[in-house]
Amino acid sequence: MAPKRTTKNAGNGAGPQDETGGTVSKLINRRAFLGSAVALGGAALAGAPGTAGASPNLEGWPDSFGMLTDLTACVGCRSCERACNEWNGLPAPEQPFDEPGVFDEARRPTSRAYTVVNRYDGPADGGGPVYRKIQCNHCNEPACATACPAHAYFKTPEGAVKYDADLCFGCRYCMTACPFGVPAYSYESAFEPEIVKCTFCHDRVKEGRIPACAEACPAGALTFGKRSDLIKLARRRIESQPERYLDHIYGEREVGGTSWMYLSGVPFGDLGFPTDLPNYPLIENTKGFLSAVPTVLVVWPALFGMCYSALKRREEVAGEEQKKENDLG
Amino acid sequence: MKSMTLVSFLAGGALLLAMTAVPPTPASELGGPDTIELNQLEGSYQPVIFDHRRHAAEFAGSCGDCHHQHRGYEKLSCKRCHAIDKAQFKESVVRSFRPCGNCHGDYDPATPDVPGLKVAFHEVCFSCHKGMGDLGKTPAGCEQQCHTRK
Repeated sequence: MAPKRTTKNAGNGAGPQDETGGTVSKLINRRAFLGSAVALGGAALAGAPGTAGASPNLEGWPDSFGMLTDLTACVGCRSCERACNEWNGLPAPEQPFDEPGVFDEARRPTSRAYTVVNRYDGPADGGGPVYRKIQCNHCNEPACATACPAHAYFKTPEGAVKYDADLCFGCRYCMTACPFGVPAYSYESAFEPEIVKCTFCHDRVKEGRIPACAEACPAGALTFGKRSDLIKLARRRIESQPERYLDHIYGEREVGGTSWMYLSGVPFGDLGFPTDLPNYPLIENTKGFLSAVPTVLVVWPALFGMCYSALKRREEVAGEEQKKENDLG
Repeated sequence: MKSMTLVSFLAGGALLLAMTAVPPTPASELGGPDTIELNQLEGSYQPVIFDHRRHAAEFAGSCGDCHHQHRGYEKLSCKRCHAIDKAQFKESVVRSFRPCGNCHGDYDPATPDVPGLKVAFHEVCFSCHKGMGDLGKTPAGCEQQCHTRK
């Protein structure tokens, strides 16, 4: 079977697509959700484990966009944070964007800030601090989408991993599943809670514009473009300035590849990046187990039930025969 | 043979010394602008009046320190930076410079290796200014040396 891209959740079947290849999330309603559950049960009865398959050779959408973050270029001006805040209409920050005190503690994306910039000590031989912008990395095969039981997450052909708050029922599995700890939970509304994270400015990208953070960055730390072009660009930078960059494009292969990729001059582990991630999608870790669950829950009870009935029947027959013999005797 | 090598070494050294000893020609004498108004961040900051003459005369060793100029890794064709106008080119190569914005206009994702004008300017400025004062250390560094908030 040729490797295929998954559009939505890498679980039991991809979501429907419109003619332009876009994923039609709204069609995944309650009926579809229940339908997929029934289909899963059917698959279990048929004894077909492994249908919930992500391709280990996943290449992602061929023309999807990405972002190359050059951590050696970032000067920590936080223009990206400001632009993100303004474009998404997020509440004003507690401290202004030019307040240097925010760097005193490590921050993470929240429901009030889809992206944050943290400061780390630079190399011991000087060169100043290193800044790291954190936001959703928009994985090629997102673990959040795999974990989401409601199909609220989906990967768009443009590269963004989007989220539909209407489908979310607040289980927060995505927060646990994300290897980068990105999705944040909004507690602002008790009745309509939602998960919030960077949207990769999907609305702007669909209009032919670039994400707000990249447009705002004055330092050339954020380069938006076709993911395939960015990988070539990153390689050229590493080759032309080997003293400036580590020979590693973070996100090119991690967890099967992410839309957001990074170049750095200091080890990624020193900047809080998880460095123990595999180069395959995380669903590979659980695929075998998850596909066995329906089999175990449906087929095994039926099989053991039949065995039990058969044994019981045999005992009954044996008991009756014994009784007959006793009566005759 | 040995003496030939020695002579060529000495000649090379003398040439290098001669090249570095020549004082840079002021930008105005070369035909470059004295000041340039940079207003790519007009939303947040007042325009920066860049003293091109002073930078060219006092800080830059050559035009190539800031502009694309036949450095080892440059693979740009002549016409990307120079107007194809023989008369102008003959009179002064510098005067034939095309404005930076001709190539570095609005950023185009189709050519991710060509930064937009705002980024191109900052990259050039940062190549010297990053590390001076607080630039590159805190957001306040932007206002210390170049930008005045509106």
